Amino acid sequence: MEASPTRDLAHDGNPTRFIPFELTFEILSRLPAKPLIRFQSVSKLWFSIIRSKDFADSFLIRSKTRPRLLFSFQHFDSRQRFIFSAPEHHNNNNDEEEEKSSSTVIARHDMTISDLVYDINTRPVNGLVCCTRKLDSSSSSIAVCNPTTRQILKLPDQEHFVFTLGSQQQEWRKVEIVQGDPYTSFKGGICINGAIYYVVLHKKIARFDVRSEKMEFIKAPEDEEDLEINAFCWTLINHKGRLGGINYRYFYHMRAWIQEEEESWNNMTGVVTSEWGDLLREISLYSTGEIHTGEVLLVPYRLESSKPFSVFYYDMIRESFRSGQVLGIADYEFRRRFHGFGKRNRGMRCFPGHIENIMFF
Amino acid sequence: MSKSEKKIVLKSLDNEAFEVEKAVALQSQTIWVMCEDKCVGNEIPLENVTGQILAKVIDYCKKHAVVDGDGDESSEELKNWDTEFTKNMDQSTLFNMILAANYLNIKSLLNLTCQAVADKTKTIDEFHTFLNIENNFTPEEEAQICQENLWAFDD
Repeated sequence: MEASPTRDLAHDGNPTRFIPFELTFEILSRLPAKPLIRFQSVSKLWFSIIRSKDFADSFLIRSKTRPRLLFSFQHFDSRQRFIFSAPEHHNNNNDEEEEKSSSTVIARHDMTISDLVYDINTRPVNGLVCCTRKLDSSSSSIAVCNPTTRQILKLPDQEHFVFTLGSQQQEWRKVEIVQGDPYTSFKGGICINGAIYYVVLHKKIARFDVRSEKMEFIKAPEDEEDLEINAFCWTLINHKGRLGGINYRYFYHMRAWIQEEEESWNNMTGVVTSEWGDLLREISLYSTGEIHTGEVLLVPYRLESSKPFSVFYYDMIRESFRSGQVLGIADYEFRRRFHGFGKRNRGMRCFPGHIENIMFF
Repeated sequence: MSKSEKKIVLKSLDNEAFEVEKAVALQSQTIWVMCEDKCVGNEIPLENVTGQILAKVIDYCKKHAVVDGDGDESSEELKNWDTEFTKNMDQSTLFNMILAANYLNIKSLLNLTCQAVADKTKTIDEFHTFLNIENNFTPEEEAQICQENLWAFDD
């Protein structure tokens, strides 16, 4: 190695002192949400990058590879609703014995909503959570919250209308419903490839295409001789991009209905061993969907402050259950801050497939 | 191919010369294009990289080069090596490594160094200093942004 003395070294060893825009973007896209929100105050450029649509889109793509469980419960004394999240449990037992499959994740407190009137009944979509408040039997009011940025946006009251976040026109537009009987109650709600599905009555599923803003109704499968089908009891799932419904009543078996096309359905039935069946019936569980592995998530109705919180996963193909612990929800530190917290068991909501979204309202 | 044709000389901004295997140097898309162009000889001048940084880049490329009979490094091992590689780098070296990886167009090194800066930099002031960014907010504007996101500041 030789150094030529004739070369001009005016650059002082620092060829460029400023970092190009695209590299700033690269570095920022590798940061987690919380520091990003902090680093908005680094400079005006950083503020505008972090708040840009391009950045939010790129953040969302990365975030989709790290799906989380979203937890929510109320604390009546302080009139607050808490939102926590934790990574979905990985499935480590590719072909090893199933005993090893129990694992532990740690939950993080994401947000507190200081208004108990709102409830969360549907799965988050792209990290945004729909909070509803029942006004009377036929109408409700809605707020959208983003636990990643801790923002909540109350929407004006309406029904069967569409409100586009981020558009110029900040108001509800009426959607034409051309067919089908009127209905007042509906259940579930899942978003698959830009369409929202929910069950209305026991034999009908509504499909709303977000792009075309068209609504249609899909017939649930027909009853068979020995099989009465009530879609209102289903938990809707995304089965590899197709609509599915899980029926797990009393855990004597697990049955999945998968929509093949239009109104043709396939079903598969998974065995539940009596050991698991007894345990699950004792705990009293419900399902809100599937996790990234395709397994069905089962969650206890109640958060018992004296016990670690466990969730369960069922694999329809392997016909096997596993459990996963979630630490950090209502732990000692939390109970100390919220006096009187530990006394009661609380209704717990838990949804799979929550992804962090840095989009600001 | 004779032995000398498989080697290439990289010359840094401060005129330090490094003789390396072609397979090592060609991980840089920039050098690859230069070699394809044939408008340079066996010696490639890199006007944006100092010798100190170039030496580190070459270390990285040597480790990641797939040379005949030398590509049996496990991915686990490589990952650990990468972690060690950036672990003790100071912020200013990392900053210059990012610029070098970008200029030389070595995608995996750019990934690694950007991730390292993201992992290591904890405070707003660190970013101001190490990335040489000017805070162009007025104190009032800055206070307002912080106030709106107070929760993100408690750790």
